Amino acid sequence: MSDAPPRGTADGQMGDAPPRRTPDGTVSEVPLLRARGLRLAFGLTEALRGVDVDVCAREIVAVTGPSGSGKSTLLHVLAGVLAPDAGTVDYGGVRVTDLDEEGRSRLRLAEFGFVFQYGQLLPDLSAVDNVTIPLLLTGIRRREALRRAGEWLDRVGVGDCAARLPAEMSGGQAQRVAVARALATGPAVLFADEPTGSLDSLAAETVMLALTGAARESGATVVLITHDPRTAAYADRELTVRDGRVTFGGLVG
Amino acid sequence: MTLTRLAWLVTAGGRGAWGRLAGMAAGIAVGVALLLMLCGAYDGLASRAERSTWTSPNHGVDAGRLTGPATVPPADDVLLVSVVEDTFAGRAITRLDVASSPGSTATVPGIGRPPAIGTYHASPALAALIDGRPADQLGARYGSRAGLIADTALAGPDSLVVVTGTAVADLDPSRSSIGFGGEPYGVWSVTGLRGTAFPSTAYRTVAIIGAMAILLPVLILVGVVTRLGAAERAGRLAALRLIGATPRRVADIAAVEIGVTSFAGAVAGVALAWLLVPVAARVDVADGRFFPADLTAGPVTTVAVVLGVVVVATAVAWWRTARAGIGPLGGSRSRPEHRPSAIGVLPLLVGVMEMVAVTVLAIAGSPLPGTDVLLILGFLLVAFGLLTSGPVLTYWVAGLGAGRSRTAAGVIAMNWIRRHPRATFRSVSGLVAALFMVSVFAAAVTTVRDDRVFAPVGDRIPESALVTNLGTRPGEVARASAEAARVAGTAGVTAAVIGSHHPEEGVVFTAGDAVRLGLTVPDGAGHVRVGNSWFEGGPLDVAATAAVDTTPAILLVTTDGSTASIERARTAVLVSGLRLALPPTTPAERRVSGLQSWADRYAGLAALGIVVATVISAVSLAVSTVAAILDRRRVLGLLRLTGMPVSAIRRVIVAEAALPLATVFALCVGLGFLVAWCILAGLTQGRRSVSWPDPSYYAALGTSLLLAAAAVTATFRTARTNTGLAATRFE
Amino acid sequence: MDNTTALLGLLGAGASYGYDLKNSYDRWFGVKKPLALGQVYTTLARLIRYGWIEALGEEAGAGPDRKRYGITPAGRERVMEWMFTPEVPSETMQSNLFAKTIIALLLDDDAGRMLDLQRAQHMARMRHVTAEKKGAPLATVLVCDHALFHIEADLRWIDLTAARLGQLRAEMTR
Repeated sequence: MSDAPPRGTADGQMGDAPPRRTPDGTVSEVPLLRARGLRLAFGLTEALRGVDVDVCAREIVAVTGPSGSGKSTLLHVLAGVLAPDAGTVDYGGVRVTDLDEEGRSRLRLAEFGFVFQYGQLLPDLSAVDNVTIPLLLTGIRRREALRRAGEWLDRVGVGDCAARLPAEMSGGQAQRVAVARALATGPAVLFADEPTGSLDSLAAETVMLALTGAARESGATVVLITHDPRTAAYADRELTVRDGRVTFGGLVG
Repeated sequence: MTLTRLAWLVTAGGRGAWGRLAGMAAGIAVGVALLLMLCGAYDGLASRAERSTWTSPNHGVDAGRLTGPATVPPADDVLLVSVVEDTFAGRAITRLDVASSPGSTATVPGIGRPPAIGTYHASPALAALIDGRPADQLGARYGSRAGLIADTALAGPDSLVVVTGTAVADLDPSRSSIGFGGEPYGVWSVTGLRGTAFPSTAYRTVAIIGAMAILLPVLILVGVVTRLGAAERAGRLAALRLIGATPRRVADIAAVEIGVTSFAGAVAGVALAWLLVPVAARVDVADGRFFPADLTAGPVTTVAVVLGVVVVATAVAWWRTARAGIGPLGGSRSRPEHRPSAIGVLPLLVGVMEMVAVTVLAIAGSPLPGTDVLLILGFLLVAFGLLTSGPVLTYWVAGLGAGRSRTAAGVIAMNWIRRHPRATFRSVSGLVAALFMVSVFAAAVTTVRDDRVFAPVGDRIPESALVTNLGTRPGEVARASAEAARVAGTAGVTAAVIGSHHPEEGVVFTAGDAVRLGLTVPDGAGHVRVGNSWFEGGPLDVAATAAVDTTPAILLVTTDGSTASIERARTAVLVSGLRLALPPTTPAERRVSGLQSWADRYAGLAALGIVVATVISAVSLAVSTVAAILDRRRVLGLLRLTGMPVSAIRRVIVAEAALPLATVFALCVGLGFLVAWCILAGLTQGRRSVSWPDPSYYAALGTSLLLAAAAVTATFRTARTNTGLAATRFE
Repeated sequence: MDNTTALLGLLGAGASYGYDLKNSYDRWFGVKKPLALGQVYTTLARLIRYGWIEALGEEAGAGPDRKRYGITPAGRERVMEWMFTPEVPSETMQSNLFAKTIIALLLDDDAGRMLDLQRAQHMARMRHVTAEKKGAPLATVLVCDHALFHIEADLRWIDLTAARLGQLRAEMTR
């Protein structure tokens, strides 16, 4: 991905200052993700009806809205999982909407991390093995991948679950393992789709603290989809989607 | 609400439910089609034997062997029959010489009235062969053609059979065949010829074992397909439990679902079998192709197979669901299996140790009493142990692999296998059993061939030489010499010499004949004696001797080596007036005859068995591979969403199929050879051993691997479409 | 909050001096608004009057500081009664916001926008409180959680109302 924007801490080390950091250490005002005029219909249902969104580097943006408002579809389009019927998505210098499926897959693997609501861990793999999967996919050697996976599990506070299977963990622990897996490759953007959707308040809090803390430490931008205001409150900014349109907070400045 | 309606609701509810049912029905259709063909072939084998064994006159009606030469034509309802084995270009021809009275009322199967003197009836395949060659190579042996033998008297479309009308005087009671395959010696008097379904109990046993060997993988296939999407179904059945259905009721619903599906599949299987029979009939096993009718099951068999499959599948589904104990909260989460116990390896170890111990003792010269029974016991233990130890070994290897894998696909696959070793191994177990059996067989067969010691090529009898044992009577010596001289004049023949028996051992030639044969004659010797072993392919042993007896005993014809020359020479010998005790044969033909032809016949059946077992196992493998992916479709879909390439999923599939196979593949082949060696060496106190098997064995191995690879490749598309974005949606 | 019973409850955990009592109160309940010492003594005097606590004698040195207070059985009974009497949920709604919504609809103004603005205000508050929780002592976290859930309740009402705007409008213009 030579044409991709500079990555955060791809090697997962904490000390290095990522290049995107502005002098005062705050969020940069340059949009890292910029979507304009997104439209997408599934049959007769219009999921997106002209959406404009900016997401700046290193900020945490919550996307809220009622069920069926098009939140998940917006995330899928922003992350290059789905191609919109119309409109553009730019990530750094790359026009994501011009890439083919193969190119978008590579972009996702190299630049993005994902956390979903549930069931994203391979049931037969221990926590630490689950975290190594994306690392191995990017070509890192097994031994090194295991070391980094262990570090990441410690960082999100589930280091003692390393050898456990997903079925042997609580929902909150499993979600934190998922966070570790999503961040282990040092993605520039972390997309989280209802990461606390199946959790109680306390577990949700530990997951969100781990997610936002680790994302800020590694300098990742976070796009967080949630219908839960308390989860959305961990974000720097909120944008509201209703009936396929962003009704509030879509653009910066 | 009726049971059927409930089952319908449960079934038709889920997304992809139709695909799952279609897959199940397709698998059952394949299974039923194979079962029908198997049943057809089993019946066919019997009628095939019946159609081919009428050529043995000892099975005929009122059969009696003539002790002396006959001179008077037989009564109108009696035939005089002599059967000999003929050969053309390495292919065996069954030749029946029949003498009958001009107004004979007796009949010959497939022909009707016996052929007149000097005419013959040939099977269509032989007729084609005769028409394709100059008469002096083949056709001249039998006279002029009077007609063809009907299919009702032929084993298959490739059978080479000829019935010749012969003068009574030309039937020679002292003449016999070279084969030891059951062709009766001498001239027989019968009032009719008839075949038997099973010439021996051994033949029937082999047929039954062969049928079992194919039946087992078919049952494995049916078992695998009915498990298709079991996790998905368990989830929906759990929903039924939640709204108040009793476990019994849930089992009933599962049984209805499977019952209806398997019935549809079974009916499709009947149609499939009908389509496949003409194709299968084209498959050429060593014994020749089958008539399509031989592979077609009768209506009773068909109904029995369809009902049997439906009833068994339904009962198993009912029992499995009732036993699974689906609670209201569902068993949809794919539970890892219990760790396989190391005890599973025990039968294999015990079996191998027992066999080796018995064999070593036997070789050491102090065999245990009942060595043969002990060896068979060990053999069964090893075969059983191979299947019980498969999951354990798979588990161990996957455990090792899980720690060492360097790729994401490897880590995913190894851990999956480690949690589901039984399910993984089950998918290849049919192939494993077939591989083991065929390896034992292939290794055991090699001993027949390598039993004798051969001299180096330059030092032994030429492969192109025809040896004929003569039955010349004292008064016919001069005529024999003249006939030999005529044979020597045939195109392509380099020498045709007559030798006589030495009273002690060997064959005596004149010095001049020996020189003509290219032998080195000791100086000044008038006659030489050549040791018997030379004629069997052994080393040459020439010594000077006195002329003791001049009655011709052996006709040795050397040729220029071309097939045409050999066959011309053979025809010349056969049509000459020479009194033959055995037909002219090349060294290679003598080696192949006897035991070898029976071995080949079994090898052909075994090859057919492994092909069928492999095809079924390949289908089972594909089905279980798809099932393993479907069980993880959501999580794999999410991984793909995060950017994992489809190629990684493909590698997962390949690894999950290859590991269990690779784990036991070498073991199967190795144990197969070890077991074969134990049986042979143990039973012969080490006089016999195994060596490298026939190329067809490697071809069988290669075919199985190719089929397995094809099966796995076929699942790629399913894997890709089932791990798309739709798979990640919440249900 | 019922300061009186809260102090009584603290004394139930063990006899204490007035000043220590204030510190203890501030630690648990006074994060936002510490209690004045004077108020503590007034309250204590009231509690003695009710017979719920008693002075346990004075130590050397004069002044109210040196007086220890302990809870009486009657006081303990009162604490129990208070503790196990469930609170009646507050019935005061977001009356202001409710009024604004009705007025906006009556004036045919953009009630949706008004609610979005209010929502943003609430979310900003939630973000603020959430940020405050990070690394804070447990007492603060509990207070913040309490506040968060209250704001969340308002937010839910705002979201639901926003979803019902069309229905409301139809009903009002009928």
